[in-house]
Amino acid sequence: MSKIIVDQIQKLTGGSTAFNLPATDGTAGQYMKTDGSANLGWSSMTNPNPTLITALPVPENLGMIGSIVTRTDRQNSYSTGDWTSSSSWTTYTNYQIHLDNSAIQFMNMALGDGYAMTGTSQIMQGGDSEHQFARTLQFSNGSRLGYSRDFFHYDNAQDYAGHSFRIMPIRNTTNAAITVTLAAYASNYWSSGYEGAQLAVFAPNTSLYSTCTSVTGTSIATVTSTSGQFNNLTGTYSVPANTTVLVCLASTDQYQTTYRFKDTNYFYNLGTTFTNPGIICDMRMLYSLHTSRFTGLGYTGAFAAQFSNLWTKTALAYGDR
Amino acid sequence: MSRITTDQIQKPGGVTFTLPAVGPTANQFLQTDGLGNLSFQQPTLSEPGITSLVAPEGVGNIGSIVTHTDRSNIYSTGEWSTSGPWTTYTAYQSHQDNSAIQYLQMQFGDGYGPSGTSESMQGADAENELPRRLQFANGNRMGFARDVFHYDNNTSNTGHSFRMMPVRNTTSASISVTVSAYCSNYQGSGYEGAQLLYFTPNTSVYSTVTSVTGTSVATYTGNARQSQLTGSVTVPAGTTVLVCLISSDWYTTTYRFKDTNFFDGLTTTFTNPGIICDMRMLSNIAKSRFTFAYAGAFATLASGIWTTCATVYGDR
Repeated sequence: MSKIIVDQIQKLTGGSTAFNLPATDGTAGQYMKTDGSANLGWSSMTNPNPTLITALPVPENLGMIGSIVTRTDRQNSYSTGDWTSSSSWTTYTNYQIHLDNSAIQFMNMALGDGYAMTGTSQIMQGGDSEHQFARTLQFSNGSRLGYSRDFFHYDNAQDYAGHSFRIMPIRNTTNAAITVTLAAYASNYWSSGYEGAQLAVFAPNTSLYSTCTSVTGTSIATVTSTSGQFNNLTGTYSVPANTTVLVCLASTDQYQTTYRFKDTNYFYNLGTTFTNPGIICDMRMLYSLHTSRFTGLGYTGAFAAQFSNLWTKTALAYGDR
Repeated sequence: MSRITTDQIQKPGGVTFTLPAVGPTANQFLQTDGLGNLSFQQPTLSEPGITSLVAPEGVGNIGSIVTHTDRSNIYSTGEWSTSGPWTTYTAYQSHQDNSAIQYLQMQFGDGYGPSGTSESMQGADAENELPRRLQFANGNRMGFARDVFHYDNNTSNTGHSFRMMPVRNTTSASISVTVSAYCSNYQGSGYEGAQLLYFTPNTSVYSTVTSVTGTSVATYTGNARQSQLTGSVTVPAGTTVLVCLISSDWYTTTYRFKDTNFFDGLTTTFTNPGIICDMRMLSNIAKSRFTFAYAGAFATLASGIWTTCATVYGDR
């Protein structure tokens, strides 16, 4: 076998560059490259940029179920910042979140700022709970989704004791309506008459996100005059074909004794709710609810048209369907 | 035309390479098998993988990361007063040495950065809190105005919220944006205060950043539950800057403090369609492990925020 031992190699005719050969071998699969100064070497070919996608951090249709959750301390904020019967717009009644005028206030608070587009220096209902961050993602383990926990309110207000707001998006992936059974537990302390707890559903007027122009609110179950740590809220709802609805749970902190409250807010029997394989948790809507900045949820008129922003923004941010 | 025919070629004293017997097709590269055997092959790119951003970019979403420290309102072991994890820390001077690097370390969740072992963990030391969380805007504001219960009841060095929002100029010309925020403050020791500031890299491409400049937009050193900080931020062409908001917990009455830390006027800040929230950078500051330590000025060290973004989420 013949071999040439040489430092450099150059094309005789028309070649102006003498290339320095590498003294060492590369690793398997490496390519010969130049450094631009006629020194040959070895290099792997790497793509410096990962493929970036606006993918869902949690896969859909694999049984995972999530929600967003936010709290307000309502009158248990100390001094400036507390609020009673009237929220950021007008009277707010926690067991009537499916109706004007509580619905639009509930949604803005659940999304982290009761004043939404109008907010400047006003107190920030939804972003006003002690040691809490607004609009947090929470996923289910097993049959339940949420929490049942103590809450320390040094303000010790028994009226308007504070609320947890939870939204779980459910999608019917089939071509026919499916009736699902919903179940939740919620705490409540009945004092002023504006507290209470509610399980409610909001549904769009069309199945395609982008074409939604109006939303309907339906009350599934309520707790009013009963106070307790675990109030059972159950009922059924018919999810239209190929449509995503928002299942909402609003609870009130239950006063136990001085400074000590209970905050129960969770869905249960998820195995029953999602027993039909055509019913899934809509991860596009879930991440839109978590990350999107909704600029169309003001306090002007009824909620029906304004809530359509929740669906149209999902189409824009995570793709239409 | 001259030609030397041979099977192998070798640099004197170097490895022997066996030349390929078969010629290439168009656009093939000369490849080694690691044993000195050369062949022409179709180039293949190693794929770093698919990476998902924390939220879609360019559709109006605005996000930030936020962290809280309880500073001197931690009980006994773990509390800290004038000195942060490295040296004196003055909250309203977080744009300059020596506070800047300490602020950044705490913002990312551990004031001791890569040197930490058993030291208290400034930035991950707030009661009932988790450090370095993502928070997104709803409407015109982003952040919180809330109560914080400090049973330690310390009115000096009361604790801080740190917030960072990446703003990107997608155009080819510099844009000046108006930034507005509200903050709480209780001036006890003189090392608290509140500040609206931003960090600007020396080049527009993430991977080529070698130095970072800190600029103070507005400061507040009085006592208030909620005081406004406003000013202008210049965002160079094709560049991402980090707009930061630092507040101090305001003492209200025994055990009761207010923690106000939010941007407002987002519609104004982002009114120019060329200005967006940089979701690559937001994903980066929310998740990346930065290894800058306490050695000298922050300017060079902080460039790691941009270069890491290039590595993890792609350069631009």
